[in-house]
Amino acid sequence: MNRSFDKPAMLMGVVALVVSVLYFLDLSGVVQVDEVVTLVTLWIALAAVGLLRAGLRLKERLSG
Amino acid sequence: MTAPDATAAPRLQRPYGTPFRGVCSALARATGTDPVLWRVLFAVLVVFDGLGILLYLLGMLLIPYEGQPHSLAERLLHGPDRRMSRPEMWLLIALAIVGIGYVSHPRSAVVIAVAGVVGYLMWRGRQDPTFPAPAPPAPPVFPEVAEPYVPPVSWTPSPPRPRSPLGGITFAVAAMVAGVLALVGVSGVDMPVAVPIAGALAVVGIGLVAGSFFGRSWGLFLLAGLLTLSLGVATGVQPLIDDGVGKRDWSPTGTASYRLGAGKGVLDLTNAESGDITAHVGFGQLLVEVPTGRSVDIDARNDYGDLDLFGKSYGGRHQHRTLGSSDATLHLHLSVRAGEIKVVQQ
Repeated sequence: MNRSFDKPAMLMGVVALVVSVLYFLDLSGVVQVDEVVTLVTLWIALAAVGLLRAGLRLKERLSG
Repeated sequence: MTAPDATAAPRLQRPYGTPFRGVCSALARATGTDPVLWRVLFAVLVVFDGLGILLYLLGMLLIPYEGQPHSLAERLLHGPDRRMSRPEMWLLIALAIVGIGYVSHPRSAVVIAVAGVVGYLMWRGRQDPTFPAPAPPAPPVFPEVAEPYVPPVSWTPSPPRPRSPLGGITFAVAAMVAGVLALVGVSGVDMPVAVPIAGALAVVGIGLVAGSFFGRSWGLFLLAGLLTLSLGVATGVQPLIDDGVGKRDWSPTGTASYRLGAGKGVLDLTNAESGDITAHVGFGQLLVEVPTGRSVDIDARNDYGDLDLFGKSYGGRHQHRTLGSSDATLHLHLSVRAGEIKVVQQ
């Protein structure tokens, strides 16, 4: 596995996954999804990607 | 052989050295107008829920810079160099986020139409052989007193990376998932039209995340964008299919529920003394006529638009009001996705 990851692909993949999962959650009636929910979820997911990337960099730096 | 037509419309190209990213200047050149006009137009469109921002971002995606043969979109679609700079990556992310905000909005149709027009203009430009090819770089000029020119060390391009099978596999699985879900829908299971799109999008999302570790596939990047836009459009269209379009007159006598996808719904409460009445309009107006002297308890929700209860406008999405005595036996649950809720007393 690469030490880091391809950032654009990861970001777009996360956006695609979040949108599709939110759609199915809304369809099943588990949560009522609107624009605000979508944008906040995307924001959190993208921030999580940033954290993951920072964690990978830190791990790489610590390992020498 | 025919001579090149000098009067042909110039190809859309963004010049350097403009205040922003050159979209307005490109449009001004192509149409022979003043860039200030286009800047004012975009600024005005920003007032309309930020539409100008989305259109400008699309312009940056679709219109190439001066001297560059391809726009960012063309480069990512056709290659050969599909690498992106950091600003270009942020442009795509901004476009995806702003676009998602718009796809379930009534003005999404306008956005798609304008994007289509820009795409057509670019396609026409590509087909027209009279457009000049970008000028080759000027040869270096060596002053006579300078040191003798040393040619650069011979450089050979690195061999292209082997194509990752991930893109093909992901595309095939996504197509299979979408096909199976579509077949299930056709076989009689009650299913929204967007379900196959969402299924394919989930597969492409997984493929992209996996690809970010094990090998990139830019085709998936674009496919995910297209599927996301399609999902938004399909989600917006679904209520129109389910609930219909046009004008509806509803005259309940008791508990009832009504839905309209787009248009005008008129709820006449003359014959209703008590009960729970639910009325929903997707896009348009919901007009409720309450007879004088009738006590009603109203729960109204309008996601985007005006809320007018007995001649008074309210801000915010959700309002709860009671007309008449507090122990009203007629309860109204009114909702509009985008448009107007108006409750009047007759």
